[in-house]
Amino acid sequence: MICLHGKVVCGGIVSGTAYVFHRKTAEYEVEQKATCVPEELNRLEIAVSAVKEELTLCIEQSENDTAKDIFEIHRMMLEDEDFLNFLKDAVENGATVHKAVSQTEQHFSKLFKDTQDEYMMARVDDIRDVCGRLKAFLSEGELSVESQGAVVLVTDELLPGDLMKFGKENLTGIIISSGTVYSHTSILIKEMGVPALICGNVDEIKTGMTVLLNGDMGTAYFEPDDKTVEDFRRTEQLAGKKREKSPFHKFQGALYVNIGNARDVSDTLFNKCDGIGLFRTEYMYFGRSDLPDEEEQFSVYREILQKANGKIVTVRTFDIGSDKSVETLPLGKEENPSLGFRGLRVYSLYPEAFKIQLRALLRAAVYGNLRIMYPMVTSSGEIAEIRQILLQAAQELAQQDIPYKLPPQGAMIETPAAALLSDEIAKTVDFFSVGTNDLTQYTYAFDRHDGRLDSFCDQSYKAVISLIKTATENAHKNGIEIGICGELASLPELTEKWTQLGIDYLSISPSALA
Amino acid sequence: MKEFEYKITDTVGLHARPAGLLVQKAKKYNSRIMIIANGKECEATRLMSLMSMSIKCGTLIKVTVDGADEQICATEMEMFFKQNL
Repeated sequence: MICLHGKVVCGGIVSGTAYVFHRKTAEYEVEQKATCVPEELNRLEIAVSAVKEELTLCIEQSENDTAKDIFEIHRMMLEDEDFLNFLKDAVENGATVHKAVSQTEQHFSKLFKDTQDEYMMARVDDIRDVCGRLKAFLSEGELSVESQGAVVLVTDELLPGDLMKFGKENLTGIIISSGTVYSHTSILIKEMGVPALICGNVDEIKTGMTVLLNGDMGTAYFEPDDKTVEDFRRTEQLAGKKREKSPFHKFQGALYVNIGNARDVSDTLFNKCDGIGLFRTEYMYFGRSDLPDEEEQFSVYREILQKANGKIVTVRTFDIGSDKSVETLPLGKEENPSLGFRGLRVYSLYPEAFKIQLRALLRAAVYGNLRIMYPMVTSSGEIAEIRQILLQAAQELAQQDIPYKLPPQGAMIETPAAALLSDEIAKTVDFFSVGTNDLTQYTYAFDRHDGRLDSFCDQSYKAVISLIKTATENAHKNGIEIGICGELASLPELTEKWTQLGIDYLSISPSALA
Repeated sequence: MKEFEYKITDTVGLHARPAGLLVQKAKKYNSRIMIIANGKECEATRLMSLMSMSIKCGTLIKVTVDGADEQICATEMEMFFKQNL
């Protein structure tokens, strides 16, 4: 039995058969015969443009922005003057194209290694990947994967391009001997959710060995003895039980979390969920004598989007009024605040504050998978008005030549009116998010802050669920997603109900994830 | 010629993605844009050289812009740094 310990790239407990892939020796060592310089230069030009096309295809086929960005950088390397000049100079000095690529790879790898900066040193992999593609094209070779059953890939090195070639569906686990958890490869592995370790020496591992990989502990056993297998199965079962205990394992849609500020986003949060279903931005406005300006908001949104690494981040525009009052945005005297200026109604009183938030959001959208949603919608007309303001904000940014992106927009379904008119509203937005707290309060007409009234709410929430059912049917009829982000989303007894209704996602508090 | 200074606030510094954006942006102008930092100098259109300059969070960089559209170019480049780095 061989036991390896390593740095965890991605957690999870899996077992399978080892498939050993030596990248460093698999490289195409075919010696090309040097022809004359002009001919070699021509070969170089063809190879560069072919690989650029290959990368363009990768960019188009990538499902997430992280992968897109990585391939985009790879393509830009092939357009870089220094990179191309180095290649050309090498060929002009008598090297074959193949050799020129190797020399270029060495030169730029050294340049990055010399920075002594961990992040930049990880970029050496990107250079190797691009050069690997060039060599592969020149020798018309292809990486081949012979995979059957549960394969745990064991390799001396893995590049982002290799990973895409192997494909997520063919990999149960990954063990790499070199690299860092900061590399683009590691980022992609995490995104794919394949348990993986970086383990140092893997020389003794042979294809066909049985592997037990515990990505949570950072250990891997090869050809394990009976006792280790027994222990491993027990750990596996325990981990499975822990997952089963969570009511959400029965839910088939995506699982998002609700957050109130950037501090709620821990480094590991996104390993445990599919994204953020509700970012309550009003918390940024509380307890201060000024309003958060565009730059402040922009940097908060950008930080969260960057941490999310391509996963969805749903930001709700500031939702004040009723029990949430903000000193800097007074709403005047109201007899009945929960039926007064709330959610989007406040934007008509403070259009400038709303526009500042929209500008910050449009700018931040460039940095990830952002979605905006509007609170307290009661009609499609309100959405149309808001879209108008959003468009103005976008035009302003365009005139100022500030980069921005128009993200998908959603409506909160938290009034009976919105649920009843959901067919009409669905035609004007990209998704629905049901806020069950307000929807319950407005449906049963009771103040949710007065505990004495609890007994008046039907504990099976029949009326609310009936409204959610209507909204779900109308959402799907119009081809948009619907999720639930209120307290009802975290009630275990309702999880199966949501699956039955066809709810696309639940958004719960990070602590409920467990 | 126009010039301005900027202190990098992005936590990872001038890493691959913003370097890529910078190159794309810099290529749109006629002016020659130079980035000066850590005693090194590099044209803003050169990806590999930019990435190897070790520009990190807190690094003070000087940007010089020289050419026909230097006025607008300098203003927009300054905005670019504030937004992305």
